[in-house]
Parts: sequence; C-alpha cells; structure tokens
Amino acid sequence: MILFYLFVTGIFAGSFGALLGLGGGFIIIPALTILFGMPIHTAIGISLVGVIATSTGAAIVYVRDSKADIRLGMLLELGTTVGAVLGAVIAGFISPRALYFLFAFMMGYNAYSMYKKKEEPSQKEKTAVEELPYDVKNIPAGISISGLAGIMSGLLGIGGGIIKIPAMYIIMGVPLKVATATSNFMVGVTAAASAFVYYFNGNIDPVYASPIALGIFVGVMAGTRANARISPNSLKKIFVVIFIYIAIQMMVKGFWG
Amino acid sequence: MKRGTVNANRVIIMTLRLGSLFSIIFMIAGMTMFLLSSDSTEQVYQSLGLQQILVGLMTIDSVSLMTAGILILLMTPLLRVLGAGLSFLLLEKDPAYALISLGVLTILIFSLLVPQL
Repeated sequence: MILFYLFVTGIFAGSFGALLGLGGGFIIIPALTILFGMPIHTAIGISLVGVIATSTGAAIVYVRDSKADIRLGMLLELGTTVGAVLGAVIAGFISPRALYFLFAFMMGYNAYSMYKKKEEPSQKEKTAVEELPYDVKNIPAGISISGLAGIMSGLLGIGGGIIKIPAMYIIMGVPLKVATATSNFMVGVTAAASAFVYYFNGNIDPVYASPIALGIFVGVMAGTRANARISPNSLKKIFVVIFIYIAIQMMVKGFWG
Repeated sequence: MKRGTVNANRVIIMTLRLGSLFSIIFMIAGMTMFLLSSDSTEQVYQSLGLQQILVGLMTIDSVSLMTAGILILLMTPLLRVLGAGLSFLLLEKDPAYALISLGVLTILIFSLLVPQL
C-alpha cells in the first residue's frame, strides 16, 4: 500500500515540479520524512532520483524545453555540479537535525521567492517577450550562486531550481520562461552529480524510489492539462501557504526529531 | 534555431525517450515482481553493487530490476550533457561550449569515483 502512496507523491512532485522548473524535491522530502517517517538521508537519496525523473520527464514531454538556453545551463552547471559533489560528500558528516533546519530555511526562502514572483504576463505580452534576444549579464555571480545551489542539492536532495531560476531571471537578465526551461535541464544534471555519490554510499532505496520515479513520469505528462485549469496566481498563493507549512513542520522535526 | 541544432535536439530527446522507456520498463517489472512476492516493504533496501545487480538481473530478482531501472534513469542527464557536447562540437562548431560540456561530463564521471576514494 505504501508503494501506492509513494506513486501518488510522485505524481504531485512531477506535475508541479516540471511546471515550475523545479525538481520536485520540495514535495518529496517533506512527504518522505514527515508522512512516511523515513530518515532524512534515505529521503534525500530517493529525492535525487525523483529530481532526475522530473528533469528527464520534462525534457521528453514538454516541447517548451526548446526554450532552454543549453549553453547558459551548461556553463552554470560547471559551478553546480562541483557544488553538488561537495554537498553530497559533506552530507554524510552532517547531522539529520542540521539538515532539517537547513531544509526548513530553504522552504522559507522558497515561500518568499514564490511570493515575490512576478505575475504571469498576458498572452500578448508573452509572445513579444519571448522573441526578444537577451544578453546574459553577471556571469561570475551566476556561476557562484549556481555553486551554492549545487551544494544545497547535494546536502538536501533538491534540484536547486529555486535558487537558479531567480539567479538567472533577476541577476543574469534571462526571461522567466527561458530561465524556467533551462532550470528544468539543469536540475537533472545537478542531481545526477550527487545521486551517484548517494548511490554508491548505499543511500538509495530502490523499492521506494521506483514508485516515486514512475509517479513523476505520470505527473509530468498529466501535469500540463491539470495545471492549465488553475490560475497561476491562485497556484502561487497555494504554494506559498504549503511551503510555509512545510517549513514549520521541518523545523519541528529538527527540534523534536 | 539552426537546422543542425534542431536535429541534434531531436536525437538527444529520442535518446532520452529510449532511456526513460527502458528505465520505466525495468522499474515496473521489478515492482510487479516485488508485489507478487511476499517481500516486506518495512525492510530498508540498500542500493546494490553493480555486480550484484548483474547477477540479480539474470535471476530476475525484483530489487535488481528496480535498481537497474533507477541506474538507467540516473544516466539520462549524462546522456544529455554528452549529446549537447557532441552537438556543440560537430554540428554547431562551437568548441568553447563543447569544452564546457566536457568539463561538466568530467565532473559527473568523477562523482562516480568519489565514493571509492
């Protein structure tokens, strides 16, 4: 029965993750630790598999991925992958408690980030903006921040998209849709960098990871149709509330274990 | 986008589709077998070593099947980076980004070796 619940968790993670350019780790890790009571290191290993599933799934399902700036993504990935390997190696030495607090902090930042996210432009504006060529600015800053995102990925099992998208959009001057699509590409590569370290350390439970990955593929495919019905602004509000709730729960876990 | 880029993208996406398909098949096969057997989900399963998986696949062991599926999935980003790198080098004649892709690929392969250190 637990396998079915994991599958459903995957569906949620996949549909929202791919839509937002995130890896879904923010849904998977709280679900695994709070709802399923797994130790956080196990949850992280499984979540990394999930992030890769979201990234690859989005690539094969979403035609919009052609908007991804692969060159930019690849350049930033130099920073992220190094960070990810470092994070994955250090993670073994960090106490679960610290990870819970760190995750809670990231969730708080997530909520803030979502809250400040600009409203989706109208249809007419959308097409106009997408066609504009853009100049990428502040590359060294971008790479450093990507490095940080990578460390977070290795430590917490997230894709890092929540750091990368604002970095690309706000600091580097990349249009939001391109940033989102590029992030979809990047999170998979980042997670792969940490995933192998976790795998060879015996921290990926295949029995739990499989239903999640399968759910994610389904979620990514079904996600577009379902999400089109909900207005992006209500979605945003729902997520802010959910993220704050999760942040509090993870803090509680950090205190009480 | 240039013709070469579009074609390269198509090849990469086809490879990813193929990889995902294999991954999904292995995972479904493994899960089905697992559900049919009376193995307990309470047990925590550690990731198996590669040799164990190969043996497991030959004996059609459920956990090995699932692990194989996951490993294939874990490979897909590598394929993407490799594909992009080759595309930069051969199709778009962009050696700078081919080199950058190689850099990322090197780091990814290094991550495979880290635990052995």
